[in-house]
Amino acid sequence: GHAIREPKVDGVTLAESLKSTGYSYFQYTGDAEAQTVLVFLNGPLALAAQAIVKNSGLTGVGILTVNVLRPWDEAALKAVIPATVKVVHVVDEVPNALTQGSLYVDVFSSLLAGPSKPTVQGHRVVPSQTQDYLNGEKALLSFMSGIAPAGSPAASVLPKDNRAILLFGTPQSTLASIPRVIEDFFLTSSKITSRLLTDYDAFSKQGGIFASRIVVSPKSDGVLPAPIPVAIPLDHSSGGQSDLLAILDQGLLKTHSLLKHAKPHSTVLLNSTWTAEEFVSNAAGEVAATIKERDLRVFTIDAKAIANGLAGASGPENDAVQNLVLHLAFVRLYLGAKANESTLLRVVGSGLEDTIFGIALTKINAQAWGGLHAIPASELVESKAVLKDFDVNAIAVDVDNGETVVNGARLGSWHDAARHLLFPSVYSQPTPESDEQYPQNPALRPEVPDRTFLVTCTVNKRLTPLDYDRNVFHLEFDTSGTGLKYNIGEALGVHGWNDEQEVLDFIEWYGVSADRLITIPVPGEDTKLHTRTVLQALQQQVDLFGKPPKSFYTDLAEYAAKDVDKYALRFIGSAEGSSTFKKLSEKDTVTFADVLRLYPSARPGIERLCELVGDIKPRHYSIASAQAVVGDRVDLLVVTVDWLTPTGSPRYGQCTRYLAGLKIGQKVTVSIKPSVMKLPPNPKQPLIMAGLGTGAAPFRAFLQYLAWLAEKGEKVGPVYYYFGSRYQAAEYLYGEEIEAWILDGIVTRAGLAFSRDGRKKVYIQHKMLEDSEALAKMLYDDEGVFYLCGPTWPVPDVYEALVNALVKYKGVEATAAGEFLEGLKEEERYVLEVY
Amino acid sequence: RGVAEAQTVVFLVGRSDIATAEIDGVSFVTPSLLSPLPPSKLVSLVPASAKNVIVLEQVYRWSTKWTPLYLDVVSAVQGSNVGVHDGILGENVSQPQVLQLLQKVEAGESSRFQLGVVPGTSSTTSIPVVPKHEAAYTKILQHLFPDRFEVANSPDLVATQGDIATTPEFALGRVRGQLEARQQLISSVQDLLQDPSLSVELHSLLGKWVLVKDDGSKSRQLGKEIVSQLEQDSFSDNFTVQQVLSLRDRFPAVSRWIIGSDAWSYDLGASGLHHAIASQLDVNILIIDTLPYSSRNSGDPHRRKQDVLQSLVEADRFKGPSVVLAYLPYSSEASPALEVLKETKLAVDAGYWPLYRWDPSKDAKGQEPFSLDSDAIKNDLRQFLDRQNHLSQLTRSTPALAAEVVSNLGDTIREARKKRAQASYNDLVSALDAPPLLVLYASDGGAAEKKSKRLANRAKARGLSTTIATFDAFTFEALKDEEHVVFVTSTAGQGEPPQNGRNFFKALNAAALRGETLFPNLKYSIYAMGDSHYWPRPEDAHYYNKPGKELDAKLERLGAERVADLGLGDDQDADGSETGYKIWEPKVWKALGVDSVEVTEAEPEPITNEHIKAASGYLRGTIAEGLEDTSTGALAPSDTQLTKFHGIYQQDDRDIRDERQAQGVEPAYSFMIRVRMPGGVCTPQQWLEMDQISDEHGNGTFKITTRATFQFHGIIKRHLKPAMQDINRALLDTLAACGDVNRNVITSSIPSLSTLHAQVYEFSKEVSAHLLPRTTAYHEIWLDKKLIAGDALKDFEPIYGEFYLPRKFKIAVAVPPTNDVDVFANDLGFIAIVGPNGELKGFNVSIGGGMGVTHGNKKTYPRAGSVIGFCTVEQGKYVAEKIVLVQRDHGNRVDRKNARLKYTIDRMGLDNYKAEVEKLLGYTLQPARPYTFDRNIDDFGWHTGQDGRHHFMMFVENGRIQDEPGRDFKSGLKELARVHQGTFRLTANQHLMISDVPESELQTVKDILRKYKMDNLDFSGLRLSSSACVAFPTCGLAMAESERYLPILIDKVEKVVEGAGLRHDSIVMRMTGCPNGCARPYLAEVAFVGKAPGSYAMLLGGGYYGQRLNKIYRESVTEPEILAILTPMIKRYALERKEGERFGDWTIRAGYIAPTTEGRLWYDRLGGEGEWRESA
Repeated sequence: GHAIREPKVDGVTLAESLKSTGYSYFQYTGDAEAQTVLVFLNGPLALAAQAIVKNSGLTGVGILTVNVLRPWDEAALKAVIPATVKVVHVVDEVPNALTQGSLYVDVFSSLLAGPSKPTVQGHRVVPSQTQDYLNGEKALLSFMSGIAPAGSPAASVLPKDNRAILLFGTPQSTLASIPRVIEDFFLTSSKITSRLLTDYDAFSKQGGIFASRIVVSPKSDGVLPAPIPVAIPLDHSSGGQSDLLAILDQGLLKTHSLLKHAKPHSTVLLNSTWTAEEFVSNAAGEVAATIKERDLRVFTIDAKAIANGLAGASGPENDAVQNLVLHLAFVRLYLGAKANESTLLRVVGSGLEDTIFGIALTKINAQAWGGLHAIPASELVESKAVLKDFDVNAIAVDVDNGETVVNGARLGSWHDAARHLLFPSVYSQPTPESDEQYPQNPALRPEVPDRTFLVTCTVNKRLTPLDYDRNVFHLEFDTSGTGLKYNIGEALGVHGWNDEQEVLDFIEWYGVSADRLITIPVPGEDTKLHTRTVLQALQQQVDLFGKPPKSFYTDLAEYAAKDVDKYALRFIGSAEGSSTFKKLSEKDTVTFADVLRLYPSARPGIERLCELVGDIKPRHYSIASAQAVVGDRVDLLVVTVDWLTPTGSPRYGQCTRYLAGLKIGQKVTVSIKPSVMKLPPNPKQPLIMAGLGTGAAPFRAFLQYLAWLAEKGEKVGPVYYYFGSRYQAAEYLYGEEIEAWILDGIVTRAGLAFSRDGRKKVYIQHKMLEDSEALAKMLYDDEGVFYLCGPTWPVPDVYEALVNALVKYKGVEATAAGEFLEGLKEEERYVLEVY
Repeated sequence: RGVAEAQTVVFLVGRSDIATAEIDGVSFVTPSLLSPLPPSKLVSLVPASAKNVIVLEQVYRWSTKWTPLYLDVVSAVQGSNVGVHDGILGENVSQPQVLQLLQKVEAGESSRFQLGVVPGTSSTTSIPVVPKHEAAYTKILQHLFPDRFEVANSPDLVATQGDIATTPEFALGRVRGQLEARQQLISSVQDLLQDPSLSVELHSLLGKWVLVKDDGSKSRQLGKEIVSQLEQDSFSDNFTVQQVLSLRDRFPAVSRWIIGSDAWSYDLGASGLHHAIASQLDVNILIIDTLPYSSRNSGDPHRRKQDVLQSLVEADRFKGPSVVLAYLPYSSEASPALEVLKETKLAVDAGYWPLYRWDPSKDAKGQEPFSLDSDAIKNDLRQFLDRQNHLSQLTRSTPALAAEVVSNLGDTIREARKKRAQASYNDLVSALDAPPLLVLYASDGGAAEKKSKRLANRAKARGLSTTIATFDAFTFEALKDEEHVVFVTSTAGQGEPPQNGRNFFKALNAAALRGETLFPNLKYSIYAMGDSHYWPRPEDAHYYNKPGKELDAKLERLGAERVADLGLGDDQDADGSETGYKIWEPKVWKALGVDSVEVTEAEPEPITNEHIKAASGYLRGTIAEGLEDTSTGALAPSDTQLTKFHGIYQQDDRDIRDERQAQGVEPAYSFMIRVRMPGGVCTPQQWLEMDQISDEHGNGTFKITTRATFQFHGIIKRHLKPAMQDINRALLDTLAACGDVNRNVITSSIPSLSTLHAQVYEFSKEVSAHLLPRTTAYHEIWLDKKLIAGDALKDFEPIYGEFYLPRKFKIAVAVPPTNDVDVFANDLGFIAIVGPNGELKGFNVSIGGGMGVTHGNKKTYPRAGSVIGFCTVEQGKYVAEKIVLVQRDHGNRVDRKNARLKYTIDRMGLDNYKAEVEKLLGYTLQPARPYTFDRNIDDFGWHTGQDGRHHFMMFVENGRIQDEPGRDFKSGLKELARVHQGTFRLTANQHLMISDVPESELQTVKDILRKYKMDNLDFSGLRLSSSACVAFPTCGLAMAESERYLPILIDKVEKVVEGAGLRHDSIVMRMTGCPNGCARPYLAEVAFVGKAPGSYAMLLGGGYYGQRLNKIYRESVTEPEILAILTPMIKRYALERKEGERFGDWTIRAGYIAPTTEGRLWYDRLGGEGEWRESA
C-alpha cells in the first residue's frame, strides 16, 4: 500500500464525477423479487448472462454487474440487491484454480454485516471455462439454471425473430468482402441492427477458409443482443441454426461439410458454375443426405459467368460485378417469396448509383435475377464419403492495407527464437532423454532419425599417387564417446555436407541472408520441425547439389514468376519433355541449384525450397575396418567421382568431394546401415573374396578380423583373396597390409590382377581360373563362401569362371552349376555387393 | 493442542507466546501458514461439539474489515450454527486475561475483543510518505509527459476518499469516468459544429480541436482559446455551449497512469489486472516489483534508465491498456538509492529479469511485436546462430499455448483447444468405416520408401486409415490378421531384395517351401521398382524386378488373394518408375473401392507447343541428341515441333504405315526439308546443288512449293544433317521455312519489269532477313558452328521472344497488275505502288489473310487480307515488324486453331489492330493508294525485259521436278542450269521462270527446252491455272488425295471445257487434301477441299484475281457428282457470259452461290442459292 505525493487535481470527489457521468457502481438486471442473484464483474460474460436473464424468462434470478471494483462501497451494493435474495453466487474469473477470487471476498465481507445474511457461494471460473460459457448459450444456460431456484424453465434466449446468416468462402478470393457489404446493407436500414463476426480456418485447406456470422435482429431497445458466438455457435453438436447459408466457393462444398450449419427448411445459396445435373454428380454423399433430411432449398448462381457476360474478362470491373450479382442474389433470397425484380432493384439500388463501371444496374439486376436456379431435391443420390468440417484456429487482425494476415505458429526471425528461448516451456516438446553433451535449456539440440553419430576425422590419406587420375583415399574416424557400434562388413552412411563456399554463393545468388532462421521438417520425419539458419540448413541438410527428379520441375513450375520459365519447367516435368529431362539430368547432370539458376524467376520461399529439394541422402560406404580389432575407430576407402559436363565445367560427386576435403579433427554425421557382407558364423569356413578397386574395403575388415582371431590362437579357414585394379604401382589398395597377411598366412592365396600393367589385360576371373580347382573344392565340398564387391561389369565373367570351375573339377554340367550357384545365393554363400 | 471435545476453539496467529496451560473445554489451534487455507482442513479442525470459535490475530491496523483467516473460518463453518468471534492478540498476554476473555464469549457479547497490550498506533491517517526511490519513476514519468501526466490513483485523493483511493479498481473507475466525460465533450463539440449560427472563426477552431484531440500539447492550447472565446461571446442561453463549458477542463488529452506496486498483483489475484486489460480502455499501468535479488556489484542505472524511458513512451503511444512491469528491488527503507539501482542492473544482466517489450499492434503492421534486450539470452542466441554448430531448435509444429503468456486475448486460446479436439475427432471418424490399409515397403536408397509414403498419404486422403512399415518390421503372425496390404519393393544387386526386406523374404521362402496356406484372407497388391538395363545382358534379363515377381508368386502360393496385379516400375521408362506407378495405383484404389473419391488434384493443363518452345532454349530442344541416337529413325516428338522452325517436318510413309505396325516395327520415318528462299530467285549453280541434294539425301525428286521455294522429301535421319549442310553450303538456308515464325517471303515474278523486280526482290530479301529468328541453335545443331567461344553470350530473340509467334506468319509482295502471289491469302501483304515512270514509290499494306480452316469448327474460317494503308520502301520492314509484334502479343496462345493473325484482327477489330501497330510505329500509315489486279496466274512463254534480256515462264505440273516417261524435266533443267547464265525464279503457283537469258545464249536455251519438251505450253487454260497440294503419301494431315488426283480430274473436266469452246479461257481451279488450304483453295473460282478419301467439299465463287473468297456449294461430293454439277454449269457459262466476265463472277451472277463479303460470314448461306441450294 503505497501512494505518491503529487500536484493537486480538482476538488470534486471521484464519486460525484462518476455519478455525473451516469456511470453507476453496480447495476442490477432480472426480476425484482429474485431469491438468487449472480454477481459478475463487468465483461463479456456479464453481458451474456444479462441477455439470458432478460430474454429467457428465468424467474427468481437476478444478475448483479459490478462496474467499479475499487472504490468498493457496500451501501450501493446492498441497495441494489433486492431484499428477497437468499443466495448470492459470485462468479470470479481467476487465472488458475488456486487463486482466491477477489470479487467473492468483497461481496462476502460486505454482505456479512447486515440484517439478512444471504449465503454467499464463490465460483472460480478459469479461462477455459470462460470460453465454454461464451461459446453458445447452452453451457451458460445450464450453469444458470443449475443454480436458479428449481423448476424455472430454461428456454433458449435468442430472440425469436432474429435471423442468423452464415457465409463461407476463401479469404483470397475477390468475394471475401461480401459479408461486410451485406452487413453495411443491413446497417443502412434503421429498423434492424446487425453484427458481423468473421472467423478463419487456416489449416484444413490451402489458403484457408473464412466463416462470417451475421446476426440480424430488429432494433428494439431493451433487449441486449447476445454475443455472436452465443447466438450462432459453430460447433457441431447443435444442429444447424443459420436461416440463410451462402457458399461463395463451390470447391468448399466438396471438401467441407457446411450444410450441417443450416437450420432445417432453410435456404442455401451456392455460387457455382455447375448446371443442375452437374450439381447432382458433384454433391458428394453427405451433401445430398443433409439436403434431403433437412429439406434445404438450394439455389445456385454463376456470378462469374454473369460478370464475364457483362464486364468482359477478369479485372476490377468483373470483380465488382460478381460481388454485386451475389449481393443481389443474396438479398433476393433474404427477402423471400414476396420480392420481385423491381422491388429488388429498389432495395439494393438505394445504396448504389445506377451504372457500375458503365454497366446499367438494371441489367445486372435482371441478369442476377435470371441467373438464380433452384436445385430440385428429387434426384439426389446418396453415397458415403467423409468431408472435413470447418473449425476456428487462426485469427485475423485486419490492418489498413487490406490484406488480412493469417498467422499460425511458424518461426521466422531470431525474435521468435528468442521468444522460444524465453518461454521454453510453451514451445518445446518433452524431449527424449538425450545424452548430456549440450548443457543449455532443452529446446536446443540436434535431431536426426535412426541414430546418427558425430564422429571425428582422424586420418585422411590419399592412397594413389598425386598425379594419378583416380583419387582413392583412406579415411579414419574416431568414434570414442559416441557409442557407435558396427559389425563387420556393414556400411557407413555418411551425411555429407555441401561445400560451404558453393552454398554461400548460392545463398547470395538466391537473395536470402545466410543467417536467417528457417523452420524445416527434421530430416526423416515430418511432424517435428527444427529451426536452423539458412546456411546450416542448405549446407547440412538440403540436397542442394543433388540430381533433381522429374517432379521437381513440375513443382518448381508453380513458383515461376515468368511465363517462359513456368512453361519450360512444366514441359520438362511432363511426359512429353522426357527427352529434354534426360538430356539435362544425364548429359548435363544438372543439380537442383543449376535448375534454379537456369530458371531464375522460379524462386520458391526458402522453406518451401528445402522441402522441394529434399534432404541430402546419406551415401553408404562399406566400412573397411573391424570394430573388434580397431576399437573406437571406423575406416573408409573412398574414390572421388568427378567428371566434366559437355560444356567442360567440372562436376564433383557431392559426398565424395566432401569426404575428400575432410580436415583432421573435423566432425562428420554418420549412420550405420547393415549390408549383405557378413562373415559366416563359424570362422573355419573357407572364404573367397573378390574385390575390384574400392571393393577391397569390406575385405580389409574381414581380414583384419580373421588376423585378429588367428592372433588369439583361433583356427581360421583358408582365405582366397582376388583383387583387381589398373596398375599395381598406383592402385594396389592396402597392398602392404595384404602382403603382410599373405606372409602371416591369413591369406592363403592372393590373385592380384592389375589389368594395365602387362600388355594383355588380366582380370580377376583369369586369376580365378588359375586355381579353379581349389575354388570348386571349397564351394562344392567344404561350405566355402564367395564374396564379390565392386562394379557390376565383372559379375557375369566371374560367374562364368565359377561355373567353368565347377564343370571342370566337379563334373557337373553348366546348368546344374548355375542352379548350384543360385542356390548358394539363397544360403548367402554367394554374396554380391555391387553398385 | 487441547482436549478433543472442546466447546470453544481458539485460533491463534502471531509470534507472541502466551503460556497456554490446560483449560478444559478449550482447544488452541495455531495455523502455520497464512493463505490459502483449504476450508476442508478448517472444518476438520473444529470438532463437531464446538459452539464458539474465537479467532485471535496479532496484526496492527486493520486495512480490511475482516481478516482473511476470520473469513476462512467463517466460510468454512458457515451453515453450521457455531458463533465465530474475532479479536486482537497483543504482547505478553497473561493467564487470567485469557480466562476473562472466555467468560465474555460465553456471555454472548459480540463486539471485537482485545487481548494484551497493543503497541502505540498513532491513529492519524498518516499521509503515506512516498519513499524517494519510487520517486525515481514518477520523476521519470513527470518530465516524460511534462504537463499532461496525471496519476489516476494519487495518494492525496486519500485525504478526501479515504485510503481506499489507491486501489486499482478505483483508479480504473476514475479513468473510465474521465473517458466518458471526454467522450461527451467530443460529441457535444460535434453537435456544436452542426449549428449554423457559430462564427466561422470559432467553427474552424472547434474543427481543428476535433482533429488534434489526441495530441497532448495542441489540444491544450486550442482548448484554452475555445474556452476563452466561448466565455466572452454571449451565448449563455444555448445549452450545448454550457455543456461544453461545464466540461471545459477535458479539452487537453492526458495520458493516464495507474501506479502501484506488486502488492497488487498478489493480494487481488490477477483479476484486477485482468479487468484493466480486458477493459480495452486507453490506460497505462505501471507496476513496480520490489523483491530483491542478491550478490553485489556496481553499475550505472543510466543505460537501464533509457530503456525504461523507451518502454514508457511506447506504452503511452499504444492505444489500449498497456502494462509496464518495472523492477525496483529494495529491502529496507534506508538503503541508498544506488544500492537499489545496482540490484536492478544485476538482475537484468543475469537474464533473471529480461527486459522485453511486446506490442500486438506491431504484429498487425507486420512488424515484430516482441523485442528483447537481455544479454544472457543473447548469448544463448548468438551461440545458436553461429555457423559450424550442430545446435538447432526443436519446436512442435503447432504450439500448445498454456496460460502464462498473456497475449491477444481469447482467440489463440480458443483455437489451440479446438484443434486438439479436432484431431481426436478425426481419429475416431476415420477409424470407424474405411478399410484399414497396411503399406509395407523394402528399400535401400529410399526411392521405394518415398513412393510408399506418398501412397500412404494418398490413401489417407481417400479416407483409408493406413499404417506404413518396412517388411522386416512386420512379422508373419502380425501379417496373418491383416486384411489389405500393399507391398512396395525395389531391387538390389542381382535381383535381390533390399536390405530391410531380407528376413521377410527368407521367412517367405521358408514358408513357400513348406507350402501351407498362411494367408487365407489376405488381400494384397505389389509395386516393384527396378531397372531393366541394370544388367544389360539378355540372359540377365530375369533379374529385372525379381524380388517383386517372386513375392507375387509366393504370396499367391501361400493363399493370399491378389486384388490388383503386379505394378512394375522401370527406370528406363519415359517417366522412370512413375510410368508404371500411374497404371498400377488406380487399380489399387478400385480394388479397395475408394476409386470414386476423386481427390482434387489439380488437373495439370496439357502440354502445348508453347511449353515446348519455352523449354527449347531458343529452338534447341534435344534435336542434337536425337540426331545422334541411332536406336530410332525419329526425333523426340517435342523436337519434331521444333524442327519445323528449322524448316524440317518429320513424316512417315503412310502407304506402308499399317503393315509396319503389324510387324511391330516403328513407322518408316523420314524428313521433309523446306528451303528458305526469299522471292523465289536462285542461281543456276544453286539449282544444280538442289538437284544433287535430292539425289544424295532425298528421294530423287524435289518440288516447287506454293511459297515459291524448294522442298525435299524422304530424307532419313542419317542424311538429315548432311543434307542441311549441303543446303547451307549452297548459300541457302532453311531457317524459318516453317514453324511459328515468319515463313518464306514470296514476291510476284514479273518478267518484263526487271529493274522494278530487282527493287521488289531486294525489298523482300530485306523483310525476310529482318524477320529472321536470331537463335544460334540452327548453326549449332546443323552446321556444328559454335559462333563464338564459350557459352558467353546468351541467345536472344528481339522480335519473337521465347514464345515466338502463336502461329505461322506468311508475307507476300505483289506487283500489280499481277497477283500471282495471292497477296490476300497472306497474313501480311505488300502491294507495290509504282510511280508514273516506273519507279517503286512504296507499298499498300494488307493484313489478316489466311486460309486455314478446320471442319466442323465454326470458329475457324478463311479470310482475305484487308488493306490498311500505304508505307514507303524504307518503312516496309518496320511496318512488318510491328505487325508481327502486335500479333505476337495479342495472338491467342490458348487455342492453336484460333491463333492466326486473321482471328486476332477479327477479335480486336481491324481499327484497333491498326491503332496498335501505329502506336508501336510511332506514326500513322498514309491512306492506301489505288491499284489494280487483273490476274493471279502466271503468264507462260517468252518475254523480254527492259534491259533486253529474255525470260521464259515454263509450266511445271504441281511444281514437281522429276523425270517421268516423256517428261524428264529434272535432267532437262539440270542440263539447262549448266549453261544458263541468268537466274531461275520459282513462282507461288509452283511454276518456273527461266529468266535473264542474255541474247548470246537465247538459242542454246531454246534448244534445251525443246529437247526435253519443257517449252510446250499447249495446255488448256484450265490446266494452266490449276494447282494442288502434296497430300498423300507424305503429308500427315491429308484426308484425301490431291496432287496425285487433280490432273486426272482435269483430264475429264477439260473435255467439257473444250466441248464448250473454252479451251483457252482460264478458270482457276485448286484442290487440297485437307482444309488447311495450303494451295489457297478458298480464293479459287472452283475449289475442292478433301474431307475423306475420295470425297471433297466443292466451293464456287472465288474472284479470278484472288480478291474474293469463294463459298461452299456442296458439303461433300465425289467424282461423278462433281462432273454432274460442272458439265451443265460450264456449258451455261460458255453461252451466257458477258464479254470478259470470269467464271467466278458468273456463278454469283447466275445465282448458284452467294458472294462472301468477309471471312466471318463465310459459313452463312453455304450450300448454294435458290434452286441450287442443296437439301439438308
